[in-house]
Amino acid sequence: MIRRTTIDQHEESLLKPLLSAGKPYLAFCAALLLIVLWAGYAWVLQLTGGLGITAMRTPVGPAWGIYIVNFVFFASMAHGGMAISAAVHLLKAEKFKPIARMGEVLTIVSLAMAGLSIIIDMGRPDRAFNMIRFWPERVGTSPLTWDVTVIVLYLVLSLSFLWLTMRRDLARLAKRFGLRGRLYNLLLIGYKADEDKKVDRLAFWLSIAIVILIVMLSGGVIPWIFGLIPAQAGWFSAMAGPYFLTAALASSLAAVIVVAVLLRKIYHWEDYIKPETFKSLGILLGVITGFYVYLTFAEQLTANYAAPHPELAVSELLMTGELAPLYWTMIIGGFVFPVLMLVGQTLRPRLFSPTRTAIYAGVLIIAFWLKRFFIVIPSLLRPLLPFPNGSYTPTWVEWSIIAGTVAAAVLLYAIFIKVFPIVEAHKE
Amino acid sequence: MIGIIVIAVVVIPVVVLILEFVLEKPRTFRIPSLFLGSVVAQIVGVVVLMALMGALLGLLIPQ
Repeated sequence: MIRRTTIDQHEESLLKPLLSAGKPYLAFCAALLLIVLWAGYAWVLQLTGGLGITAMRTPVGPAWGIYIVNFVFFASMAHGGMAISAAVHLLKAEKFKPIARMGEVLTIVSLAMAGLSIIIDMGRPDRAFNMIRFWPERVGTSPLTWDVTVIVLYLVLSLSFLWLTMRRDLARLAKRFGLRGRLYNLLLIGYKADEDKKVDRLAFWLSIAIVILIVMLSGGVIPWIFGLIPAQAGWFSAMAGPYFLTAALASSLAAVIVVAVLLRKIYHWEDYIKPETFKSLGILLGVITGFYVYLTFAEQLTANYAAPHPELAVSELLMTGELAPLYWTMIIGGFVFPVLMLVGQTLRPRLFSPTRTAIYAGVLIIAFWLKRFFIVIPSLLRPLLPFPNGSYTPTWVEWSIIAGTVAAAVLLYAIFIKVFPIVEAHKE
Repeated sequence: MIGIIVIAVVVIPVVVLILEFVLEKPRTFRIPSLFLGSVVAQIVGVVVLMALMGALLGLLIPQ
């Protein structure tokens, strides 16, 4: 009896987000919605006025701007959550189970925003359907088509994974909620109480497919958009795959840490999500980011030692040129400092706290967005062909749309946690 | 060629998954059917949404 009561209390605590939506939550969502609407207005201006309203230019200046930076950033952010979930199912890493679904939702929201960023970048998004129309002809040769294929597959598998693994919770909650209960019943199509073990086995095999997709997306097709172009100094590199994959794992792990610490604090889930979970994730994040700093050093050493002149020109723009102040701030403040702090938490345990780990992770997320900027833009400002050097300062339209995609991602997440259980509410 | 490899390496675990359900006793196809149904429905959804989006944006963008 006492055990039953404890389990009920445990479930009630985990269902907190579904049970109430206070004024702060509604105000927060309203603010996000305003930003999204503003971004929508900016996009309409861009659609009707053309891409000339942005700072993207060709041939002098960058043909790609912060929309593509945003695409790479969001596509990379999609990996940590599913990687953690895959670790739970493949390696039985039970420690990470409380945050697995948080990560899965982060994956889906990030992938949606990655796709949206690409559509926003297009001058004629009304022709996006041509990607599907001509898919059979293009899939053999076009890295952009590989991108669309893998992102759609990843999104579809992740959504199916989330749906099937969430059904046991929905079955328990369907009778409890009115309107949401109807939605749950719709998602419970064909549900039988004995399916849970079978779903666990499905999740195991699906995790394998998803891990392969993670490597293919951020270790393959996205870096190949850049790494396979010899006509662009600074991009053409066999190292692009591992470089992007490392960044993707680190930035997405950082995002999962921030989301999990925030939700843990807001809903008082300290007993459910133990500090040890963040300690392990923090160390992993520190080590992966440390390796990324090494890869950045190797890249710049190669570009400076005896590289062809165009490579040197791109590197100089970062090392000593107009982008240098921001670049070095990113390297030292955005990467080296958080890595030292995260690794330092292992050596001196009293320095550790989940909040501090989340702060360092937050700094890393900003640094990784900037790093994508320094990958995409400088190469386009130093052309191989005999055109003058370009410059790039994004316009208010571009910044508004970027703010809108970030706000839309947070808003979608905030809505999800009010409609569906964000943690596994059942107790084994 | 790469497209085929991309799809194949993802399809292999999915095929193994389905085979496992087919070969087990008593046989049950419900979970794999739900999974495949979900995948097909979503891919169709993506295609329809892209076509709809193209049509709607076509009205907004000056031709």
